[in-house]
Amino acid sequence: MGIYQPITEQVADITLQRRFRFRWWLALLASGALVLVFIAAVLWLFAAGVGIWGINVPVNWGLAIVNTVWWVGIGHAGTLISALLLIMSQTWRNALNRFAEAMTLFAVLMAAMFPILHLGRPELFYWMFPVPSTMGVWPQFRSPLIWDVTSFLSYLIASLVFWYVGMIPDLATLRDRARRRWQRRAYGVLALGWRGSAMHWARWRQAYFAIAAIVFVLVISVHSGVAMLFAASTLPGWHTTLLPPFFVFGAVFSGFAVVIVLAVVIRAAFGLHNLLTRDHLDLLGRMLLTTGLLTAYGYLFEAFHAWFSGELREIATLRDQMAGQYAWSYWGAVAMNFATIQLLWWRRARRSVPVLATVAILVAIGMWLERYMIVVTGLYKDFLPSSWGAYQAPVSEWALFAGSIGLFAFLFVLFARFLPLMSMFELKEAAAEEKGEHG
Amino acid sequence: MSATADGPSRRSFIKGAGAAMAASRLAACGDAPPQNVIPYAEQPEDMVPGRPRFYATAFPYAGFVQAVLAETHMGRPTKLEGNPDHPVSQGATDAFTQAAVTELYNPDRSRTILRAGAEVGWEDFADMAAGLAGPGLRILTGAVGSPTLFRQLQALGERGARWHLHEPWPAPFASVGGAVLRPRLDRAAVVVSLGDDLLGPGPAQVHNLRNWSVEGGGRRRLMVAEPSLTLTGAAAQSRLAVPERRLSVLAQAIAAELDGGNFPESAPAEAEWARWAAAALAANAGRSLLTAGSGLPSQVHRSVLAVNEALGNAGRTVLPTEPALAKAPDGARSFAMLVEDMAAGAVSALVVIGANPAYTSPAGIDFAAALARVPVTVHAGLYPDETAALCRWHLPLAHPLEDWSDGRAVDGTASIIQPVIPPVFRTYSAHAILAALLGEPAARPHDIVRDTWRAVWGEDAFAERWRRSLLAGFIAETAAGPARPRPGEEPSAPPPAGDGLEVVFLPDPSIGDGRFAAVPFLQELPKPLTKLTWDNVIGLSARLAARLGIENGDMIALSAQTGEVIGPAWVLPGQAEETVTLFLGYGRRQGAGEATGRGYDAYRLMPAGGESIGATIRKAEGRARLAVTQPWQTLAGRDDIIRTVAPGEALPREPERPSLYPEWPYPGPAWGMAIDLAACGGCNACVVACQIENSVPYVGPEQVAMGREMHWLRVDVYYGDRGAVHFQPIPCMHCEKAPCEMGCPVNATVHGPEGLNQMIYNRCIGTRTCSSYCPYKVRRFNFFDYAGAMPAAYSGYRNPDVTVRGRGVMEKCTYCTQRIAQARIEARKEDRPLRDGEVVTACQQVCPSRAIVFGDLADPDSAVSRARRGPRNYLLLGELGTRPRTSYLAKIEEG
Amino acid sequence: MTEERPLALLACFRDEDALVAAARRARDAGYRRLDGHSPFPIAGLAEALGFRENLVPWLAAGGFAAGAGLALFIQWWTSVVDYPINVGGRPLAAWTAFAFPAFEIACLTGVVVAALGMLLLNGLPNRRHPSLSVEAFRRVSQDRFFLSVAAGDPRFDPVATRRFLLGLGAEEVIEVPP
Repeated sequence: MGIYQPITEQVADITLQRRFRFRWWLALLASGALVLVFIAAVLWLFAAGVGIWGINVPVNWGLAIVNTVWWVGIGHAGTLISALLLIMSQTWRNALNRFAEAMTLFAVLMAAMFPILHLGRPELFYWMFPVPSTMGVWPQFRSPLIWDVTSFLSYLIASLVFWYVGMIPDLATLRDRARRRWQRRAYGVLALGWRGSAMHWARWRQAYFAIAAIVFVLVISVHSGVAMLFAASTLPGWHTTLLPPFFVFGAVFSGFAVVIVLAVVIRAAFGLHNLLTRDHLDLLGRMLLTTGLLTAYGYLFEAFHAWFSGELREIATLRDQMAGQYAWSYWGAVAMNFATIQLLWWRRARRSVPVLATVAILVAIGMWLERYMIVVTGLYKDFLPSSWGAYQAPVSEWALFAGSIGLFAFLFVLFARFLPLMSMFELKEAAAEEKGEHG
Repeated sequence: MSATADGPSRRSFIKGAGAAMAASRLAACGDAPPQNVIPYAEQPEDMVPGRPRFYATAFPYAGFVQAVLAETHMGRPTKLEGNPDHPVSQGATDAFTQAAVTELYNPDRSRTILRAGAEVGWEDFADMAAGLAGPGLRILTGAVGSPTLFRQLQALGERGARWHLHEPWPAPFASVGGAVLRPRLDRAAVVVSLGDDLLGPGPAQVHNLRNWSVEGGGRRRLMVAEPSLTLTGAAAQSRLAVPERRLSVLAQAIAAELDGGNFPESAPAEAEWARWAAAALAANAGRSLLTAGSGLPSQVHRSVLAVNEALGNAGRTVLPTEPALAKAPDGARSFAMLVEDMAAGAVSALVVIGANPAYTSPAGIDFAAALARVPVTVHAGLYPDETAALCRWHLPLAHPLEDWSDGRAVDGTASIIQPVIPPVFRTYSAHAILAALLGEPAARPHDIVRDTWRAVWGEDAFAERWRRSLLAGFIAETAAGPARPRPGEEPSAPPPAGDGLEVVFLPDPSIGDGRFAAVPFLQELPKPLTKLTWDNVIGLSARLAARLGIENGDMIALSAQTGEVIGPAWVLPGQAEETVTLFLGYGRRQGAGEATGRGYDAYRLMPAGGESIGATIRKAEGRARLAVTQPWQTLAGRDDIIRTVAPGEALPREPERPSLYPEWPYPGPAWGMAIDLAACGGCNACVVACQIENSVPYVGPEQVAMGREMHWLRVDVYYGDRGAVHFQPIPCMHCEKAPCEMGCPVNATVHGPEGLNQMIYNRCIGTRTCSSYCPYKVRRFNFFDYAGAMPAAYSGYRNPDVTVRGRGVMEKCTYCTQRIAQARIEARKEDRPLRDGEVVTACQQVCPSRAIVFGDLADPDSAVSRARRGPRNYLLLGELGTRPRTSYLAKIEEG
Repeated sequence: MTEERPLALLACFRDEDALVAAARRARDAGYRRLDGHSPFPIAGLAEALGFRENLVPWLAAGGFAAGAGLALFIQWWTSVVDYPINVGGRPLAAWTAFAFPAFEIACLTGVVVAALGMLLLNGLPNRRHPSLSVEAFRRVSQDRFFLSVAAGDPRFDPVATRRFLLGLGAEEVIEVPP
C-alpha cells in the first residue's frame, strides 16, 4: 500500500466517495436556511434602503462595518498559516492550510460584501474604481475607503490565486482518481492538465513561494488599511497611530480562533484525527495564546495612550468604553479575549478539544464585540455633546450578520464536499521527508 | 410620516393625487395673481422663468400680521422674507411665518364645503346664509386685527348679530385701562420681567427680539422671574424660578422697595431678588423697564405701570398705546357669555370663523354640549378640525396668502394683505363668508378691502395710496397712537391659592396654541429649550422628579379640580420646584394632519384666563418614546464650546495653527460666517428659514427618535453652571481643511474655489464616511427617500434653485450657495465685484436679533471680516486644525 | 509494439529516491529530453534533469513593480492632471496617500503575474497532453513516480530506451501513444 496512497485515499475519497452524505446534507441545509435569511435581508435592504437599519447621525456606521472589520480579520489567520509558515518551512501547516485558505477566501468575500451593502446607493459602488464616466470625476484616492477598496480587492484576488495555485496538484489527483464522468471533466478542467512534471513543480515552487511572500506583506497591510479608516478621522478613540498594529493583532487572533473551530469540526466530521492531530491543536492553541496576548497589549496601550495624552476627550472616550452605554462590549471583549485564553497556558487545555473549541468560540465572539466597541463607542459620543446619540441594531442588521455567517458556512460546506480539504501532496511531501529522516 | 419604510400609505397617495390636480391648476395660471397685484420692486412686464418675484404682503396669526415679502417662482410662493422697510419686521420673521408658505400646500387642508358631511356648493351656503342675519346670529372669531373684518362684523352687528371673540392665549402685550403697554427694549438698559416671555414665540417675538439685540454686540441687563424657563428667562443674566402665584408678590415687593410701601411677606431669595431688581430699575430710571406677563391679574399691571411711570420709563421704554386689535363687546367674558347663551337656547345660528373652540375652549366651558342646542352651526377653517366635526356646515377657509385682506402688526401698523397665489384649493376668505351673511355672496374680498380703505382715505387719495401701500407692504404712519390708561380701581383678585403643587400653562413653542399643529415642519422644529419634536410633555423640576422617582419619558398623571391629563414627564431646567408646566397645542383629535392624536390636551385643565391652578401629581403606567434631537444638553466639561467674556473684554487671540498641508490660494471671495452668541435668542426662525430655503424634508417622529432629523442648521442648547442657558446655532463650518472631504472616496464632497465645502448629491454613493469624520456632525443623510415620502403637494413650496435629494445621499448646509450664485450672476451682469452684504443667507436674513453675519473674509472691510477680527471671535473646535470658515462671537457675561 | 513510433516512454518507479537516481543516470547516459513526474515536488529532481531557470520570481517582482507604477500613475494623473480639485485643502499630489493603494495594487499584480507566468512557462493549461491519456500514468498524482523520455531525444530508440529504463529499476515502462 505504501505511505502515500492512504493519504490520497483518505482525503480524496471525502470528495469522490460520498461517505458522509447525511451529515453533509444536514450541514448544507442548516447553512442554506441562513443563506435564505441573508438573501431576504439583502432584498429588504435594497428595496427599502439603509434606513431599515438602526444607524443614524452620529452613529452612521453600524453592524455592517463591525462585520466587515471582523470578517476580514478572520481571513488573516488563513493567509498567515499558509504564507508565513510556508516561508518558515513549518510542515505542520500542511494539514491546515487548505481549509484555512478557503476560510480566508470566504471570510474576505463576506467582508467585501458589507461595505457595498451599507452604501446609501449600493448600485453605484463601482464609482470607487477609476472608471471613466460622463461626470469626468475620478475616485478620491486620499480617502482611506479607497485604500480599503484596493486592499480588499487585492486580498480577495490574491487569496483566490494563492489557494488555487496551491490546489492544482490536488485537483489533478481528484481528476485521476475520479470514476464519474462529470468529476473527471470538472476536475480535469480545474487541474489544467497538471501532470506532476519536475519542471512544472520547480516553477510551481518558485511561484508559490513568491506569492506567499507577497501575500504575507499584503495581509499585514489589509487590516492596517481597515484601521486607517478609523485612524484617519479626527475622532477621539480612533485617531491614534496604535490602531493599525492593534487591528492586525486582533485580526490574526480572531482568525486563529475560527481556524480552531473549523479544524475541530472537520476533524470530527470527516474522521481526520490521524492527519489533524492533537499536536496541531496544541500548536494552534499556542498561536491563539500568543496573538491574544498581543491583542491584550493593544488594549493596554489604547488605555495608556488616552490617559497619557491628558486630552479631556480621549479620556472621556476611554471612560465611555469602560463605563458608558456600550461598556458591555468592552468588558465582553476583555473577558473573552483576555481572560479565557489564560487557560491556554496549560498544555492539557490546549490538547482538550472541548476546552480549546470553547475558548476559540469565545474569542471569535469577543473579537466581534471589540469591533462593535470600536465602531459604536467611537461614534456615539464625539466632540460636541449636542450631537451625541445612541445606536441599537434592529433585526434587519442582525439578520444580515447571521445570514453572512450562514453564507460563509454554506460556501465552506460546499468546499468541504467538492474540493480537497487538505493539501494531499504536501502531506505526502512531509511524509517523504519524515521517511527520509527515519529510514 | 409613517410611510417611510413601506412606501406611501393609501391616505398620503390620495392626498398627493389631490394636490397634483391642484398643482396642475396652478400651472395653468402661471401669470401674476389677478386683480392688479403690484410687485414689490418693479412693474411686471414679463414673467422671466427662473427669476423669482417678490410681493409685499403680510401673514396674520393670533390677530397680528407679520409683514413679509413673498418670493414666488412662476406664480408659486416658495418663501417668505421679512419686509425690510416695515417698522416691526425690519426684514426678519419668526418661525411660524417661515413655515406659513408650506401651509398653502398642506394636503390636510380642508377643500370642500360640507353640509352635514356632504359636499355642497357655495350657492347652497349663500342661500342659507342670506337669511341668518338677525338677533339670533352669533359670530365667533379669534383675535381680529383686520380693519375690514371688523367693519364687516360691525355691519352684521347693525343687523342684530353679535360678535364674540375667543383667543385661547392672551395677546402678547398687557393692557391697563384700555391702553396697550408696548415695550421698547431698544431704549432699555435694564429690563425686569415678571413672567413676561418677551422674547418667546408669538406675534411680538420679532418686534421684541429686534429691539433687544444690540448692534455691535452689547447686552441689555435682563432680570427675569418666572415659574418655567422661557426664551426670555434663558437670555436673562439673573433669573429667579418662582411659582406663578408669587409673581404678583414680587411685583408688590419691587413697588414697595421703590416707593417705600409695605414690603410683602416673601422668601429670602424672593426678597433679595426683588431688591436687586428694584435697585437696577432705579439706577437706570428712564432707561429701565418693568414688565409682567399679560396673563397676570390686571392689578399687577396697574402697579407695574405705576412703577414705570414713577421711574420715567413710561413713554420711553414702554409705550401705552391704542390697541391694535378690535375689542370684543363683552371683553374677557366674550366666549363664556356666548356659551352661556348657546346653552340657554338664545342662539339660533353660530358662525365660527378661523377659531377652533371645540378644541381650545378652556376647562369648565362645555362648548360641545352648548353647540348641540344651536340650530344652525357653521364653521369656517383651514382644516376639518374638532369644531368642523361638530358643526352642520363647514367652509374651507382660504389661507391668508390666498386672498385679499388687511391687518395690523403688533405696533398697529396696518398692511394690505395681497394674495400671492390664487387659492390652491377651492376655499373662501373670511370676508367672503361675512359678505354672504350680509347678503352679498358675490362680493369679492378685493373690493371689500378696497371699500374699507376708500372710506378711510377718501375717494381722491385712494388710488395712489392703495398703490403705494401695496408696493410698500404696509401703510406708513398707521402705528397705534399713544393712549392714556384710564384710571380705575381694578377688581382685586383673590389672593393666590396656598402652597401645593402649581400647574402653569404655556403655548407650545413650535406649534403655538395648537393653530399650527397641522404643519409638519413646525411639529418637527425642535422646541428650543427641550429639543423635543412632535409631542408635548409635562414639565417639572428635577427635585420633584426625583421625589416622584421618575425620569424623562415616564408617564405621569396630573389631577386638578377640572380634570386629569396623562403625559410624559420631562425635567425642565430652571423650573420652580413646586410648579408643573403643561404645554398647549397637542392632543388634537381632528384636523391636525400627521400630528392628530399626538400628545395630551392641556386645555382640559386650563382655566379661561390661562392662569395657574392647583393639582396633584402621580406616576402613571408606561413610558413614551419621545423624539428628541439633542439628548445631551450639558457641556460635559467641554466648556470651550461656549465661550464667554466679561463686558469689554477680549478672548485670547486664536493662535496661528500651522499645517502640514500647503496653503490653498482662494483668489475670489472667501465666504465666511460669524454667529454672535450674545445676540442669539434661540428663537428657531433660522432653522425653519433654512429648511424652507433649501427644501429640507421633514422626516416624522419615528425617524427623529432614531436620530435622523434633517435640519441643515440646528440650534444647540446647553445648560451650564448657575442656571446659564446657551444657544448655539450650528451650520456647516465649511472647514478649509475639511476632514469630511478627505474621507469621501468618490469626490462627492470637495472644496469650491470660494472656500465652500460643497456637496455633490448626484456623485454621492452614501458611504457616510464624511459624517463619521465631521467633528461637528452637521451632515444629514437620507436614510430613506424623505423628500419623496412627503406628500407630493409639498413640491409646491420647494425652491426651484435647489436640488431635491434622493435616498442614500448625504446633504448639509451649503451657505445658501444658490443665493451666492444669484448674487454673482447679478454682479457679473453689471460687470462689477460683489458688494459686501449682497449675499444674504436664509438664516441671516430671517434672524430677528441679527446674530448672523455672512460675507467675504478676503475683503478686510466686510462685516464678517470685522466680526472675525473682533475681540469676541473664536473658532469652534479650532484646535483640531480644521480651519472653519464659520466662527462664533463669545457670549458676554458679567464676571 | 505499435506500428507507430511512441511519443515518449514512461518509466514507473515506486518511490521518489528511485526516480531521482534514475533521472541522474539517464542524464549521465546522455538523454536530454527527460522529465520526471511525481505526486509531490521532489527537491533536486528538476536540477538533476538540467533545469536551471529562475524566471518566475523575477516575473513576480516585475509584476509588483509594474502594478505599483501603474497605480501611482493613475492616481497622480486623475488627481493632478485630469481633474485637479481641492479636497479638504490637501495637496493634489498626495504621495503618502497614494502609496497605500499603490502597494495594494502592486501586491495584486505581483501575485497574478507570478501565477500566470508559472502557468505560461509550464505550458498550462494543457488538458490534451498525450501522457494524460495513459491509464497507468493516472497514478502520478497519487503514489507513483515516472521518468519520461521524449521521442524527440537524440538518443531515443523505442527498444533500446525501454531496455535502458527497465535497467534503471523501473517497475514497468509504458509507451505514450501518439
